[in-house]
Amino acid sequence: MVPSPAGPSLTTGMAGWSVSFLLLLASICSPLARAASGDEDGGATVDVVATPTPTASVTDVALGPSAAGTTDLAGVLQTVPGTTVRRLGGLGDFAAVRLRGSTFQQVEVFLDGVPLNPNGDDVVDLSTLPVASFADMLVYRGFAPARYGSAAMGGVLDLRTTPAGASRPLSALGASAGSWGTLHSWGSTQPVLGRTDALLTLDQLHTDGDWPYFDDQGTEYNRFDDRTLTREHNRVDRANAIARVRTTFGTGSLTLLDTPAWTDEELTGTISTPSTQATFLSGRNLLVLDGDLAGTGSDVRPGDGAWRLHPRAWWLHRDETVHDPLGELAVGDSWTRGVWNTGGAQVEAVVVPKRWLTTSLLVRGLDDVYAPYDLLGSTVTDPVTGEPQGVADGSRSRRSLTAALSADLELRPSFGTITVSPVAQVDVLDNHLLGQVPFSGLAVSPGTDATEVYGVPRGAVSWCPYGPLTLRGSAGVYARPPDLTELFGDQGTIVGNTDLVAERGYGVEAGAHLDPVVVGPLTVGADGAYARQRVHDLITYEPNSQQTEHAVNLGEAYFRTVEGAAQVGLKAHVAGALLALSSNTSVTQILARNLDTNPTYSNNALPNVPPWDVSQTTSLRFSAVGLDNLVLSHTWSYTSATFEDRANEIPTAPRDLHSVALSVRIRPSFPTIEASVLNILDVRGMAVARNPLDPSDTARVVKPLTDFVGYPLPGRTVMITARWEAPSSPGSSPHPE
Amino acid sequence: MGLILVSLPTLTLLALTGCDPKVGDDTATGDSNVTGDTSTDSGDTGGDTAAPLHFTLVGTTTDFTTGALATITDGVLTDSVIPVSSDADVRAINGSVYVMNRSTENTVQRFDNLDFSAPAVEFSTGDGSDPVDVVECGGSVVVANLLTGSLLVVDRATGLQTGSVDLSSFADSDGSPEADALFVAPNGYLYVAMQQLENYVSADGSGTLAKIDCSTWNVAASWDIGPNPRMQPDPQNPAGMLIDGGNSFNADYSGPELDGAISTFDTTDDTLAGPFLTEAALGGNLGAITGMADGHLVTTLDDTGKWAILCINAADWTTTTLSLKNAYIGALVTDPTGTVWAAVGDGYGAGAYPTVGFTPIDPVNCTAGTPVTPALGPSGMAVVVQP
Repeated sequence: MVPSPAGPSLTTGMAGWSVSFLLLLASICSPLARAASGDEDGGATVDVVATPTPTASVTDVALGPSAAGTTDLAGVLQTVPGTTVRRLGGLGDFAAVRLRGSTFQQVEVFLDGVPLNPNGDDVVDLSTLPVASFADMLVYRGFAPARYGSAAMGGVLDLRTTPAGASRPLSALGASAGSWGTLHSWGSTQPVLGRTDALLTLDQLHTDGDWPYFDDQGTEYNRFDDRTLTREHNRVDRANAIARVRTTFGTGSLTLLDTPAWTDEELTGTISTPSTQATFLSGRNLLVLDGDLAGTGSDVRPGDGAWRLHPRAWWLHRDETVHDPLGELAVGDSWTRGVWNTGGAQVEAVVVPKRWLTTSLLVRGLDDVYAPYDLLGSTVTDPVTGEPQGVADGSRSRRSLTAALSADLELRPSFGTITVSPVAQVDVLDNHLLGQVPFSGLAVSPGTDATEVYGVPRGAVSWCPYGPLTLRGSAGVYARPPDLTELFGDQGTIVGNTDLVAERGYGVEAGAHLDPVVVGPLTVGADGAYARQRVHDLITYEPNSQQTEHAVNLGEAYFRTVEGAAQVGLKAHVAGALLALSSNTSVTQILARNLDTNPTYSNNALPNVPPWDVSQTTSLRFSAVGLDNLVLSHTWSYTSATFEDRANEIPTAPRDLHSVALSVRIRPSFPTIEASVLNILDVRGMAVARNPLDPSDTARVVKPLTDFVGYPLPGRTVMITARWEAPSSPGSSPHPE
Repeated sequence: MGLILVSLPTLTLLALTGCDPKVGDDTATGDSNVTGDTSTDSGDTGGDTAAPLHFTLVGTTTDFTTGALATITDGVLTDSVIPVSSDADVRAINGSVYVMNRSTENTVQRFDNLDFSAPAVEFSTGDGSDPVDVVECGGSVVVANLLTGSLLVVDRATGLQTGSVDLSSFADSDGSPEADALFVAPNGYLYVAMQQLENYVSADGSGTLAKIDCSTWNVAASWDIGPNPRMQPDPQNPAGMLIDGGNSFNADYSGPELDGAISTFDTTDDTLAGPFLTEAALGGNLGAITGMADGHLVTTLDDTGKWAILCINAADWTTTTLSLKNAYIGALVTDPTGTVWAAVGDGYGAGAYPTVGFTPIDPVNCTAGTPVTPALGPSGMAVVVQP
């Protein structure tokens, strides 16, 4: 069974599931398995070969309350092939993901199919998306199905809440505490009342972030001033909630979803320029009204003439304030606020004229409004809170329209099953409400035509010659217009640039997938892909001597990715006890080249894209009478050396980190207690060449371990977690397949 | 004592005229193997042939994510000698090269004899300190940090801190007086110019010059010299400084504030003279000033977005403007031949402009020569004269 294309929470009855089944065309050739739930093994066990879409490089990652506590979404994503995760610190700190070497904004993140950063207009901070609140996450690298209406060059992440009627715990509670004053708690419940069911999740995180780090004070030749300091002014407080109510009627349903999120954090700054008073306050809310209507009754089987209509409307609000009273982040004190509002509406119509042909049309409209406020010199205060309100420094608005027409053809020649999925997508941007014609720097009057049109077709094909084996390929054209922050954002260290043009690129890939094959006690599955991409006018932020970042079009870049994942499982029954060994390994090799014509950068490796990324998780599960579940797991992650700069003058060092976890549950109704140690070897430094410009200087010096220059990562982190889940309700699997 | 009395005038004379060592030029009597010698050596019958000048330009380069040191010797560029921070500057003092690293690190390195294999001394100036100038005074190294309330005093041999100069009494509400430039006068005192800016602007027009006793590290005197003062040695007066001040930005940061001027300060009697040229008359912000002893000076003129070269004849304060491509000029230095070198880099804050390079300027004719172009954009420069 394969997941519904529109997200499990939005299907209705068997009709919807049937349409979904046809759309994904995975019935006969390869019964694709979902990710292991992770419930049995405890913790966030990623089944790296679980993929629900035969034509795409996609991994279905189990999340949920059983995966929460000792890791976050970034930690889970690190185990997925094709990903590169970057952090500004530890749990609770900013984290973002690249897919196949992409930029962060070239990854579009969806929540139940609603884009959190449409057209890549924002970098989604993964730390604001709690693992416990979602059932699973689809990670599409490259080609993504038309239902997302996404032309993202990197790919798509779709976080999905627990579907209604799924066999998930009715209620769950959990709490985790540990190093750096970290306290994390979560809870969820799914009440049902007649034809109405609800989902409520709450998640809270606090951390002081006061871990020790190595500081050489920037003196590579002077060892006498090396010291260990404690990260200060690094507190993070977050709260998230998801509330969803769904009611069914006939063959339709109506769903209301609201997901507020709040963050209050201290900005610690870099090692060399620490901040003592800068703060960041943000609020985000996504409100979605979703309808679903199928053309046949609830017991219909897949057949000719089935149809489905899926209208949706949403409002995404984001409010961020950066306060830097001492000018510690950049030159000059600042107090700025940015407010983003996006109103969206879309309709997806799916028609199955023949059993072997499914067509869909997605039409989406978005209205993005961005309003910056300068609070520093404000004399206007909120009458209730007394806080300065500032005056909006003008607002910028942009409307976009996306239309994606797709088809899925399933052909069954004698040599297997072939699925062809072409997508014809057009994105239209109407920018005449902006102050200037974008991408040209010319002023524009309201009546001036300033419409940009992007054609972003793509297509995929898969061939299943033999039961568990699927071969696939895809190609596509991609585009990302500069977002409103890149164009106009003057917040903190960011300076906008109205001369930016859109990023454009194309990509091709070929891959293979082996569904888990069970041979006696042994289970083996694998997935692999080879992809090439070329990007023009890549938008990047360039710093200047005043510590501000200025968005510019970089030039051209080339990416070649080889990614692979393998899963091995072994089960044995010994004296009435169950022993299960599982191993999940993912390997990513990326060649990322800067094709800028400037000889200083030409053919250099793109910074912060490690050529090798390996993740290996092995877990041993023991279950016997009197001991429901005991799991010991080990995770090893390896990241090869890369460069911190475009000129490739500042190398980093390879890094390998080990983490272990032990979880115990005596009875199924008892809580699970887990102890985990992240970075068990307490790696906090890396040895790099003292003078990388002089090959004859073989001396090496120790630098703090960082993902971004100046932001050290925490060392050994110990977490103790207790989680309890009410017994699962009977019913279908979490996502209809 | 007799030796000192004899030597001092000689040494003073040599210092004043001494850019060009001359073959056969000595203090001995009976010197007869030179011609054209204008020194006062007894027995010197003149005819000296000028010895070839040997100097090296040392510059910092950057693309603001990384930096490197480059050298130019006899017109030959050696690029990417050592990595430096993305916002580094350089000074030459008594044959040593001091590199001030900022942004990703706040350190000072000293290299002797143009040997960059390893620094002779390396020390941190403190997190977030932003070192902007360095001198040697009273046998110690003194560092001006833009974002602290004091000057850092360290031992020249070890780099260990031995003291500080408290400037907190000159600080504004951001806690720092923004000490920006240092000058060691022949009288042995150290002079420091303090910008006293808040958010790039001196709202009340204040800017202070302070005189420091290098034996006690106490402030001996101070003067109000106008907003955002910049200070550099006066090539016409070894005991003097050229001070050009004025806010860079107007109140809403939409453009330059033309409230500055060029003045001179003579440490012989601690007197301020001028203004001689005003920004209002020139139509742009004045920048660093360098030049020749004959009064041909070179500075920069900017509108906060683009920089141009301004040549000045200090005899009558007439000016000539030399426009380069939309560029950012980070530093100006004069080499012993009288050529001014400009570190012409990428445009500042307004998109990418062509990197021009280390550009020689003829201060008399106000023309630019062929630039020497490193891989990254030039930002700072210093001249090391080699014996």
